[in-house]
Parts: sequence; structure tokens; C-alpha cells
Amino acid sequence: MRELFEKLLKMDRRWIFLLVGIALMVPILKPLKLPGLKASTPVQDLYTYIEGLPEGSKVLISFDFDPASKPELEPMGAAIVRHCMRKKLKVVAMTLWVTGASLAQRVVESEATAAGAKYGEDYVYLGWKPGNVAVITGMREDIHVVFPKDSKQTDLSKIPMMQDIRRLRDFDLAFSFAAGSPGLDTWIAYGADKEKVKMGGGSTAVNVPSMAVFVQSGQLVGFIGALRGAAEYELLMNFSGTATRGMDGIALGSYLVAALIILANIGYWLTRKPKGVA
Amino acid sequence: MTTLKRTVPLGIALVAGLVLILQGFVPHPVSGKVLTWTQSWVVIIAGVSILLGVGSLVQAHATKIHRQSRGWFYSAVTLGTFGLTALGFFHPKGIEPGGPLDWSYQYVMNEMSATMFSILGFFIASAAFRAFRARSVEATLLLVAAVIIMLGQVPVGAYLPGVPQVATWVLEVPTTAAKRAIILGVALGSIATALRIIFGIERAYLGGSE
Repeated sequence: MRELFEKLLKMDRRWIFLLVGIALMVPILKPLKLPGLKASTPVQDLYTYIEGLPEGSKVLISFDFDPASKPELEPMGAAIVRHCMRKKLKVVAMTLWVTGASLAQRVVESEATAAGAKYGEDYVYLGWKPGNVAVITGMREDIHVVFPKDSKQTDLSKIPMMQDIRRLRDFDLAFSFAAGSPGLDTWIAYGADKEKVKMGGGSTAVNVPSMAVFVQSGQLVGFIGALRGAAEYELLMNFSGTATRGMDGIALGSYLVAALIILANIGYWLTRKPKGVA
Repeated sequence: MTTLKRTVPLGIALVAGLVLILQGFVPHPVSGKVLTWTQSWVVIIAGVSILLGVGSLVQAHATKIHRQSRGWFYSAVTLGTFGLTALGFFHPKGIEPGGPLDWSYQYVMNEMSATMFSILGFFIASAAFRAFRARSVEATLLLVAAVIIMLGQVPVGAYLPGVPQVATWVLEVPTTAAKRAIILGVALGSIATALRIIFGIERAYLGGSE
């Protein structure tokens, strides 16, 4: 047994890579539809809040991520845009990350097209502006000054939907889907809290503990944590998107890593030399 | 030269810092206008800083190539792809969908960024196997917490008795408490640093050896 574990502990890391690859690939090739997914309280709260918004309510969505975080954050962004479109809310989308400008546009356009929404009347995409915090604080004063034109280079003053949206406080709900800074905490500190705008959002798994602080304090009406949160939202929306499909891979990957850690520790205790032995 | 290099920047930092601190406490329309005006400046400066960044990037990599320093080939790749991307702006389709910039974003940057991030998963698995050992009480606590949270975060974990509850408790109580302490500490540190810059005690941003 001891020899077996000694060999195991010295295993070439490429075997681990292979195991991880299999654990992630199998569910992609053949979805396992593992059971047990149910909406957590922050995700349910966000869904309920949007459900309670009257038709025509104005929603700001900031896609604050880049392609590296796309697999984790795009599904939740798409689910929220879909929900807003379903509820006939007015969506204004933007990004604080220059590398996310094109991603955000694709998500909004594809969901809006699927819902039959009209640009300029049901949704607008403002694009990106440099300045991070300055963009948020500027939007508190006048959105039309910070973004004189939308991403299609149309004057904001000529867009019907933007006529009665001038300041951050004109929104009934604001979102940030964030992979880091500037992101959700930036929006809370410099925008939502100052203007008393209700705020919701989502983040990558590594940022979930940081954002949990704002959920507990009530500064967020709801929160979507990583791909699991997005899958929970898809469950509430009653559709199976990329997040739901990705959960099988995450489950198998997590089980594999947990099993590897447990095995490595059993091996460590069985093979370690007593104190004083060289 | 000292006036231009030191006194003027320090003066600008002092005035801008104090005005913006006071602005936050004055709920008057004029105060709002000052903020809007300042924001325009910040956006302009941020735009100019991108240009400076481009200049700095080109200079650093060009020097490396010229001196044939270690890894100069990667600098050549950086500058080459940078040049190609910049050329894309002159294409009739420019940044429009289907244009060269959109294509390179969609099929190069998107995929390469996702690949880099995905590779992390493989390295984390390998590192966890090699480094996560119960060598001490602290390491054991970390290990047990990590495994419980990992299992508690996946759907099937709901069927393991007690695991989701313990995972939620770890995330909501000790983790959030520690995070809150960090956030408060960082905020206080930021205030202290800002005051040091405003009053000219911290001068590293001016460059030079001081």
C-alpha cells in the first residue's frame, strides 16, 4: 500500500491534466444532467425583484468583463437581458472594460433580436468610455454628457428611449456583471449607494466572497455567483442555456479535485517518515 | 525646471484633491457642475494616458528587440500583432462587425483569453494534488474548508448530508467577516495614501529616485 501511494504521489502531472480534461470533456460531449440544482436565496431575490418591476421600468446593465471571464459571466448577462426583454423593461447596456465592448454588444443584440425588441425604443447600447470611476460619477450628473453618442454613433438626444433617462437615478435597477475592478463594488460605492439606485449583479467565482459582503448588508437586491448562479437563474427562467450545460463539467471537475486532495493526503500520512528519521 | 517638475504637479494635486473632497460634502448644483467638469477632464486624461501607454509599450519592446535581449522574439510578436491590429483601423470596415478588428477580437483575442483562463483549471488541480497537505492544524483547517466548499458548490453536493449547510456557513460567516475587515482596511489605507499624495508627503508618482 505504501509503495502504491509513493508512486501515486510522484505521478506525472500530465496524468492529472488528462483526468481533468476527461472530467470536463465528457459532460460537454454527453450532458449528464446531474440533479440537485436549486436557486439560492440571492439568485431567487434577484429574479423576484425583476419579476416585480412594472413594464417599461428602466434597467442599466454594465458588462464589466473581458473574454477571459466570458464563459463564467456571459450566461448570467444573457439570462438577465432575456428576463428584462420578457418583462418588457427598457434596457440600457454599457461596459467599463474596453476589452468587453464587443462581447456586451453581442449578448444584448442577440437576446434583443430573439425577443423582437426594437433598438432605441426597447434597448440601447452605449458602449465603452475611458475613466472607470469617472464614468460612473459622471453618469450620476448627466449620462448624455458622458455618452453623447451610443455605440452606433447616434446622438443620445435623438434616441427616443433616452429622452427621459438623463441621470443614474432615473434607473429603476442597475446591474454590473464583473470580473474584477472596475466592477460591482465600484458601481455600489460611487453610483448606486450615492443615488439610492437599486443594484443587482453577478461576479466570477473568485469574487463571490468579496461580493457576499454587499449581499449581506442589503446593498444588492440580489446576486448571481459564478456559473452556478447563472445556472440557477436559467432554472428560474425555465430554460437550459450554457450555464446549465456547464454545471455538469464543474461538478465532475470539483469532485475530481476533492478526490485528488483526499488521496494525496492519505498518501502523505501513509508515506511520511517519522520525526528524526533522515 | 524644479518648479515645473515638482511644485506645479504638487500644487495641482493639492488643489484638485481638496476641491474634490469638499465637493463630496456640498449638496449644491454648482458642486455638481464642478464634478461634471472634473469628470470630463478625467475622461480626457484617461484617453491621453492610453496614448502614453502605447508609446511606452512600443518604446520598451523596440529597445528589447534592438538590444536582442532575452525573449526579444516575444517583443517582436507583441509589436507585430500590435501593428497589424492598428492597421485594421484603416480597413473600410474598421471596427464594424465582419471587419478585421472584429474578426481578430472574435477569433483570436476571445479564444486566446478563454484558453489562458481555462488552463488555470488544469494547473489548480495539479497544484492542489501536490501542495494541499495537512501538515499543520492551520493547513488542515484550510484543506477541510476547501473540500467542503468545493463539494457544497456543485449541484450533487446537495445530497451530501450537512455539506451544503457547512459550506454556506463558511462562506457567509468567517469568510465574509474576513472580507469585510479587508475592505475596511483597504479603504482606510486608501484614505491615508490619498491624504499623503494631496499634501505632498507621498511623491513617488512624480517619478525620480525620491
